[in-house]
This record gives sequence, structure tokens and C-alpha cells, in this order.
Amino acid sequence: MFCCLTLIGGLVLFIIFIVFLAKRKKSLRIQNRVNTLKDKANSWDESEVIEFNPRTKLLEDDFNEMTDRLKKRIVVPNLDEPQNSPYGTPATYVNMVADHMTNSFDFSMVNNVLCQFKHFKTVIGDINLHFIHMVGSEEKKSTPIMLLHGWPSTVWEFHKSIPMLVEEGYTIIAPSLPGHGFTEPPSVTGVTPAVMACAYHKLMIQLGYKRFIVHGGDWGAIIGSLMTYMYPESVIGLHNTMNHFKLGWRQILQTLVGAVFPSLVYTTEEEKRFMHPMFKFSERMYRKFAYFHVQSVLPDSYGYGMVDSPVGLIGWIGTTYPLVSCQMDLTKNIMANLNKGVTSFGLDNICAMISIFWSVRSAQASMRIYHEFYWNDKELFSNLTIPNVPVAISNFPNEIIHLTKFASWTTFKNIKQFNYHTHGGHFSHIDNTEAVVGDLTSFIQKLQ
Amino acid sequence: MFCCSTLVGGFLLLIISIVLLAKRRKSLRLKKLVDALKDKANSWDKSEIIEFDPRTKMLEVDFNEMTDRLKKRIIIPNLVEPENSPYGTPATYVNLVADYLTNSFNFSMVNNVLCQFKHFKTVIGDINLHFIHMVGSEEKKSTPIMLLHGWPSTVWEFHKSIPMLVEQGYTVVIPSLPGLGFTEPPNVTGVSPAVMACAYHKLMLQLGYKRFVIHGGDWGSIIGSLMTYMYPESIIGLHNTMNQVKFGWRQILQTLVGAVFPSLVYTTAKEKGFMHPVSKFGQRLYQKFAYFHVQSVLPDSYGYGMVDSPVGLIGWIGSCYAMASSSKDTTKSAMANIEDGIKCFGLDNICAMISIFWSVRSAQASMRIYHEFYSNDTELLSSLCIPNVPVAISNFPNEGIHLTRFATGAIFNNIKQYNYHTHGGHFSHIDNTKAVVGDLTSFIQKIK
Repeated sequence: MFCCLTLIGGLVLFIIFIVFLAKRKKSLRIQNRVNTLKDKANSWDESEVIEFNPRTKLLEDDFNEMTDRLKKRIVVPNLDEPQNSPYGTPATYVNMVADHMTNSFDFSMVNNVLCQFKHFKTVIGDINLHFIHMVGSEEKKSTPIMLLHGWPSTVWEFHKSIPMLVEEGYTIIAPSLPGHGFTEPPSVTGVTPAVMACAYHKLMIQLGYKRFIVHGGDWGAIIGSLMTYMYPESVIGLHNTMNHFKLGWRQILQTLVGAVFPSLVYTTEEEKRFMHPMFKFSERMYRKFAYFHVQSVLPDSYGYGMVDSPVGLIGWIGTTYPLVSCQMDLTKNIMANLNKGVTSFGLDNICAMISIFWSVRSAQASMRIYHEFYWNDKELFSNLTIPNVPVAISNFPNEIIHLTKFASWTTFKNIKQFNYHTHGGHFSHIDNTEAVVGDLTSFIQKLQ
Repeated sequence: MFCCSTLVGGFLLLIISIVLLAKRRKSLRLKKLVDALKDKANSWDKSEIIEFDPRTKMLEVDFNEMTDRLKKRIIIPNLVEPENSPYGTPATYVNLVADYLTNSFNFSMVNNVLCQFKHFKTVIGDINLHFIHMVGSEEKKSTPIMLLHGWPSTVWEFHKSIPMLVEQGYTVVIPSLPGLGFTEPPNVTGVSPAVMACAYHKLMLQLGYKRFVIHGGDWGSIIGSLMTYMYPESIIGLHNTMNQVKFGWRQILQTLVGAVFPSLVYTTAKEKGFMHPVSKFGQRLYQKFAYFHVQSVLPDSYGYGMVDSPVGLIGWIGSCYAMASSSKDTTKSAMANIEDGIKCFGLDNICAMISIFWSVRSAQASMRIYHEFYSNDTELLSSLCIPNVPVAISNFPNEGIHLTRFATGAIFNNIKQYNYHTHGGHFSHIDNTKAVVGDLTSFIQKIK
């Protein structure tokens, strides 16, 4: 008996020791990487900031080229019930958007809206960075805000929010994510989200903003978290609309307790359904992360058709907008669900995004961020915590990730605001602008 | 001590009985599945077999449409070194093939070659099945051969092998995989590889071949194995060029021993490289199965650009031929490896495959087989075992899966032939025709 216990005890100690050593090694590795990133960022020369006019990139000619190709499109659904396809985007949707683009969409509206704002470009490292810069009132100058979009978005995402924030006197900086909108794809490899975070940080310092608010969704939320982790001294507060899923003891504990007492653990149905039923969790993850997997390995291979063909562009990138703007009702067919998403996001907004991607020809290269993240940043990202910088999370029901506040503490130790909303999705700046802007400004008020 | 051992013993017994119960339940589940499949196949009405002329589908006007679109193609590599892209197919390759198709490729050659053979169509279940049927000599009539191709192939894969086999007097039956070549994509869902196996089997019976030899690669190997599992009484022998991995005690034992004594376990460097280093196995799998993952979840979403744009088609499907035929030397650039693959597969063969996919407009729908497989057949395939039917495996160095004969025994218990060759890849019928045809005929000699 004693012998048995000693053996077991010794084995447990040994395992603890090995785990401890591995954690230490990892910690050093991450510290090393962050130092390397910051050293590299420090070596970037300061470059001129020049004014930029979106009309030089969003040309009527290119739009007409797109509609010409759409008129001659080859779309072959094959299925008896194309609106009920289990294989992804239904042909019904592609044809609907193609028709709207060709017959109804007013392309000049995109330039008119974008030209309300002041656009600039500057070179930071390997990135020829585009950004919107609206200087606010003296009163609000101490809390400039960085708005960070993700994939497959553009600064168009914020076209309703920027005027709201500017009206309240805020200073706004909204960069285009490399490979999206007016920031061309880098011509070298290695421009990862962590590198982008350093570049965004450098931009703010260059513009004279030593401390600022970071607001982001999708990759913007990830880059915002990376920036806050690497430069906590610069970030007054971090506001994310997309939470970070991390498998830690909190998530595990919560899921086990939540299996028996869900109402004790989950505030919303969405939070519960994200984890339960547990035995179908891996199946849900398999379906949710198919796109992530392929874009982190073969982004270019699947992307050629999205640059040469507007049908290819609509078929994938053009579908993500309504797809993440509605809740999938599995009792209905895919087209019925997409129609809900189209109602939330708006067909004109879908077409605006598609027009920008088409004009700048960056649909294929935009997907490379997944590749750069997976092969360079995942260890850094999955281990970072934000211990002190105040954080706010906005929870919209049609978002793709739902975590309880408890589980969020795995990453964010100082959550100052954790709001729930009754409608809105992954693109809340489009489908619930008032709520997300309201959350941002109330968060800033709390921090001042 | 005694208490301890009783506890441990009781615990072990509990685990063993749970595992046995689960195995029994799975076994019953699979039997039900197979019975349901065979019942469904039995309910399919016999349909007329009509002659088919490929020229009715392979039209000059469609080929010219493709070259017109290629002349106006939009390709943006963005990278300083496009030939060394880590992101998938390099733009250099796409432009190379586009130029060749537009300037040099002789499209009429495809029809001329295909029209050497006798083509037919018949409806089996939900499949409007195309097949080549060459009746051989009386002497060889007892061993008719079914040649089964995979994705993204067509019957073009066998255009050199068929004459060789016909010359030797063999009867050959070569169907087009549903969604590929001249078998249109089914217009209903549910046509999974197991269903295709039943349809192929039914075809042979309808043609009067009660017992036959199966030869397959890629999905052809998988469908061949499924057919052999479900209808062992019909299969004289099964010859696969792509092996199947099963994670069982053999694989585990072999990997452990092979880590210390590789020469004891592995016959070729490729076999060793498939499993070792074990620490990077997960990473290699992640890279290898990205395409499988996305095609099993969202085949249509990424596929629109492959039907509307020949660039989209070349960018992914058109690059598979070169990539799967190359030696994948990680010390060389992406383009160097692809050039290696082009030498093996041949630019004319690449263009022939692309022309067929373009003409029949089925690139997008061709990928649905992965979705159907994942949704319906994974348990069946991963559990099946071929205990009695004689099996032959041909091992080509540039194939994607490399298993030792020992590990192969997990699925195939009666391996009659296990040959290794010094050159050839995933498409050995193209790049080492003599060897693969030689293996097939020598196998048939052994099992007559």
C-alpha cells in the first residue's frame, strides 16, 4: 500500500515538474518573440504621411468590368433544390447578388460615402498602410480611438460609426487591415497579425498619440489584444466585439457545471449553445473552422477565382457578410437563413464590400493573414493575458463566439464592461451601430 | 497492496467491458448501414445503356470561351518572389498553364484520344453514369477489370493504360466518378462514396460480369475497398495504388519500434518520412488535410470561381496534377517542385484534364464527394477490414500515403502483392504506366 502510494506520488511529482519546465520554456519563447517583434518595429524608419483619395482606387471602369463579367457569368447549381444546398453558398444567393450588382447597385455611393472621411497613407515596415484619420475636439483628445476591422472587411464597416463618434468629438484612426481595402497586400511574407499590431501601434505614436483606446472585431479584436499585450503602457482601454476562445480550467469547469446547471453558468442561450451539447462540440468546431484551416494552409490556391471572377468573389467572401449576421436556424434551409442575414447586413453594404475587394484585387491575398497567424502567432496569442489594462466586451447574439464573463477572465483580468445586446452579429457596426458605439463611448467614460 | 490490485483490476475490467460493448454496438451499426445501402441498391431499376460520344460534351466553342477568358485574366501575385510562395499555387504556374492553353495546346487531341474507346451512359439510382467499356478476348473474359479514378481526375487518367490492357486481351470497364468527367454531378444529396460503390457494382452485374477485378487510386481506391467490403463475393481481387491509413496497434507499435530501429521497420525513406518525426506528425497532417477539411464542409463556397473562371480552375484543381506528381522536396521552391511535377505529369495531360473540367462545368460539384464522405461514410471506411479477398498494393515514391506492409495488414489481411517502384506519383497511370499496368496484370496472373 505504502509502496503503491510512493510510486504514484513520485509519478505525480515528476509530471508536475515536467509541466512546470515546459511552461517555463514556453514563457521564455514567448518573451523572446515579443522582444524580437518590438526590436524590429523600433528599426522601422518613420515615413511620410501622404493624403489619399479612395477614388484613385475605386474606379468606374473596374466596376463596369465586374458587371460585364457578371452578365456573362457561368453558375451551375446542379441541384434540384439549390436554395437548400448543404454544400455551402447556394447558387440562389450568388445569382441574387449578381443581379443586384448589375441592375440596381449604385457604385458611386461608395466613393461618396468614403470621401466624407480624411484618408492617408504611410509606409510602416513592409506595410504601405492606409488609414482614416478624423481629428476630434480638444476635450476628447486624450482618448483617441483606433477602430480595427477584420476579414473579409474594410473600413466600410465603420462608415456609420465614424460620423457618430466624430459628432461626439472623438478622434478616430481606422486603418485598413493589410491585404484589405486600401492597404495593399505586403509583397513579402512574414507580416503576421503580431507584426500588424506593432505597425498599428507605431502609426499611433507617429501621429502623436502616446495613449489611446483600441476597438476591434474579428482580426481587429485579435490584433487589439496582441497590441495591448505588447504595449500595455500605450493602451488606455481595449474594447472587443469578438471574444477569444481559450481552453483553460475556467472553460472546463464552467462547461462541466453548465452541463448540469446551465442557468447557473450561462447568461444567454448563445453562450450555452456554444459549448453544448458537448459531445457535438468537435463536430461544430470541424464545421466552423474549415475555412480557417484551408486559409491557413492554401489561401492562394483557392483564391485565384476570387480575383479573376466576381462570381468566385461573391461565392465565398461575398457570402460571409450575411452568414455571420444571422443565427443559423437549422430547421430552415440555407437560403432562408442567408436572407435573414441579408436583411441585417443590407444588400448595398454587401455590394459595397464586394466592389472594394474587386477594385483593389486583393480577395486572394486577404486570406493570407490566416496563414501568417497560424505559422507564427498562435502560441503567442493562445498564451497571452491582459492583466491590468481595462477591457470591455460587447456581446451580440449573432456573433460567432460566445463566452461567459467568467470564461473571459482566462484572457482578460480587468473586465470593466461586459454588455449583452438583443440583436446584431459579427458586424455590429453595420447591424446594431447604436449599441456598439454606445458601448464604446460608455466604456471610455468609465475609464476617464 | 491487495486492495490496490483489486481496485486496479476491477477498474481495468470495467474499461475492457465498456470498450467491448462500444465495439459491439459499432459493429451492429455498420452492419445496419451496409444492409441499408445494399437494399437501396437492390431497389434501383435497371436502365437502358446508350452509346455516348464525348464530342457532344467536349465542344470547340467551350474551349474557345476558356481561352478567351484566359486572355483577359486578372492575376495579382503581389509577392516579390511569386515562384516561392508559401501560400499555395504560385502565380507563375497559373500563368504558365494559361499561356500554354491559349497558345500551344491542341484541344482536338483530347477528343481524338478519347474516341479510341467505346463510351456509354446508363442511369443507376441517382447517377447518370458514364463509362468506357472495352470487351476483351474470350481467354481473359473471366477477369474483367474495373479501373476507378479519383479526384480531381477523369477517365483521361487511363488513356495510356487502356490500350495496353486491351492489347493483352483484358475486358475493361472505366466509369467516370460522379461529378467528374462525363458523369454529371447528381442533382440530389446523399450520393456518397459508399453509394457510388454500390452503383459501380450494379453496373458490372448489369454488364454481365458477376466476378471482377477492381483497380483504383485516390477515391477509386476507397470506393474499391468499400465495394470489396460490401460485395466480397463479386471481387476476384483488389489492386490499390493509394494505401489507407488505419490507426491501430500495428501502426502504433511500428512507429514506436521505428523511432529506434527505422531500418528494421521501414522499407523506404518515404515510409519513414510519413510517420517521422512523430513530433511534427500533427503539423504534416494539418498541412495535408486542409483541402480535405474545407471540401468536406464548404465545397461550393470556394468552387464558384472554378466554374466561372479558368484561372480559378487552374489555380486549384489544375495545380493538383503537378503537386501530386512532384517529390515535394522542401529544400526547393514551390515553383521548382511544381516544375518537377509538370515533367512527370506532362503539360498536355494537365491541359486535357482542365479542358474536360471546364467543358462539363463540374469543378465545383466535383468537390462535394468530400462532403458526402464526411457526412456519411467515415465510420464505415475507418472500420472496414478486407479479410479474404486478395489485395495488391503498388507503392510509388511521390504518392501521398506511405505505409509498410505490416501496417497495411490492419485493413487488408490477404496481401498477395506489395510492390515498390522507383518513380511515379499519385497518378502512376500517367507517370509510370508500365509499372502500374505491370503490377495489375501480374496480380491478376497470381489470383486467377
